[in-house]
Amino acid sequence: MPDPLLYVAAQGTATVAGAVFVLAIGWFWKPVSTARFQAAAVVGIAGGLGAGYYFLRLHVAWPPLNGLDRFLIIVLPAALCIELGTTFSRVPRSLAWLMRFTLAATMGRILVHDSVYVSGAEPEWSPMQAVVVLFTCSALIAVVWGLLVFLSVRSPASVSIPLALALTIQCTGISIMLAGYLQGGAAAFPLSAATVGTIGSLRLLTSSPNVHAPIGVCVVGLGSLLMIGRFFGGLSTEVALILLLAPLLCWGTELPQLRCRPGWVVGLLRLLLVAIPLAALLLQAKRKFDRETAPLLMQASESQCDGEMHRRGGQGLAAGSMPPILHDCTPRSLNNMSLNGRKKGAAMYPNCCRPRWFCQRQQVANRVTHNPFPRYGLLIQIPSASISTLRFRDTSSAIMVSNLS
Amino acid sequence: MQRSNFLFVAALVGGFFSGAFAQPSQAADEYLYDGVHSSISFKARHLDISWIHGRFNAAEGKFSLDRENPANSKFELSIKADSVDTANAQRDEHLRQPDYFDTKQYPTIDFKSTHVKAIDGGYEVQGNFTMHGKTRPVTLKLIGGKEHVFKGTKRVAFSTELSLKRSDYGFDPKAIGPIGDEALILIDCEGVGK
Repeated sequence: MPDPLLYVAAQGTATVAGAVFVLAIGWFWKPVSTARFQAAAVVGIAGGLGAGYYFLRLHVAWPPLNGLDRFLIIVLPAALCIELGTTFSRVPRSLAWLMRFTLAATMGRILVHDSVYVSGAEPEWSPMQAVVVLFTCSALIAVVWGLLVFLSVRSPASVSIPLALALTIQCTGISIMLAGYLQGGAAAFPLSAATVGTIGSLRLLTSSPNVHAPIGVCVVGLGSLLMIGRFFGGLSTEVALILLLAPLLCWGTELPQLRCRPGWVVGLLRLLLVAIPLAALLLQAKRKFDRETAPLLMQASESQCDGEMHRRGGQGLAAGSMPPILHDCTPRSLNNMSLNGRKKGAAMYPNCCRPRWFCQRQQVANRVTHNPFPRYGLLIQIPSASISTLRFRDTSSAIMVSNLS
Repeated sequence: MQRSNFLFVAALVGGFFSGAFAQPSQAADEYLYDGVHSSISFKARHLDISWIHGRFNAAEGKFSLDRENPANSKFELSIKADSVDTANAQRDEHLRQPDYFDTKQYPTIDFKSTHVKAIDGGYEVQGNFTMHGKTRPVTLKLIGGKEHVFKGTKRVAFSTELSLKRSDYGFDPKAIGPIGDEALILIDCEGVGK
């Protein structure tokens, strides 16, 4: 079960750890230089990630067994090592980009290693299909990576770019969770938090920090999480694409009318531009969750209360003293029911012809007031004149109505 | 006369040696898992008050049964984790995700025997059970083994139960939540002679 408090605590820990690492390095490692700030950023993110994941107690296997294990044990450390390596002035820029693109090209294959897509007697992907899919993923990640680094070079307010990436990673985590993969989603939270802590403390130390390293780690993290969510979890291709490309909306501030604005305005606009599609996406994901997964959880939370009611109802019927069910606000799964032409939201309540919000309100009322007979609550509330207009699915209820009227 | 005596002696000698040194020629019977007449189901505790039942709809396997020398018998079963069915499509989809069976990474749940011995009413089979990428030794008590020839094909059936802890097989402890850690797998398997 998801534990929001644990996620918040892990994010807080990652943020503080990232900030403390950067501030400590900035304080003790003098004289400061751009390269040292970059190294401090990598160490800060690494420290924040370590603290966050330790706090989160993610279940990671050694040797790595699944995609998430390989992301946390191979891909993310590799990205950190490459970004740390590129901070040394002796490393030529071309070599740095070669290493980055090599990682972008291989991370997809690393993540799907030993899965049904590429392994087994009959893999789901043909060799050509695997090459096309993985190449497309790598190319998209490399393009996003290159464009964001280019943007950070050519315009002010570069700190807003890793912050926009952190925002996207956070939304990716929530989307993956809402799609049904809790661990995969939770893995995103320390990354976004560590980035925010690191960038915040870097900004305190210097007015225009070099953010190539945080961008690199974040793009690799974002790409990996999306691949895990898409190939192993329930994330759809469209959602994954939107999440990957959303940070590119930072380029919107390069329009002539916006480009000459003060740095903080540009930064704020970038975050806003990225946040709008992300908010729409989260809303959509939440609706899908409410429609498909929430009924399972609601049944779980209602089962104890309803179980008591069922027992009472059963005994009552056996003794001939308890009336049959008139109105059933008990949510049901979408699996075993017919919609009968009603709107989709009503399908959660198969024995109920009222709107969905009405049933939910009824359930809340039953819980708040501890009504011992939640199913019979409406018997009192509905005027007798309107009872005849109700549609019932079982004949016993119809008999009950006729007796009442 | 001389020729018939020679043949008689040769037959005696041949009969002696074949009886004394030749191994019995009866080999183990080979069977294939009959998916139509077999069932693999499971149940797990929900909120520690009830049981949730489910089944796996697709599996394949084979076994060889040597009744004379049970140690030569072998049992193999491979369950397709993707075929999980709990009579609720949304829950099935959720169970296929990495927090539970992770069917894209671990498409099968496998059992392979390592040692078989006869017990009263069946066989005790030791072997390796692999689920969710983890392999652990288990011991199954196969009850049954009664043969039946139906339309010229030999059939044999066994039933067994296996109790296991999901946490032993690398399932995320946080995902265990309201569903109990312990699960019971019930296998009713019918084999068709090759």
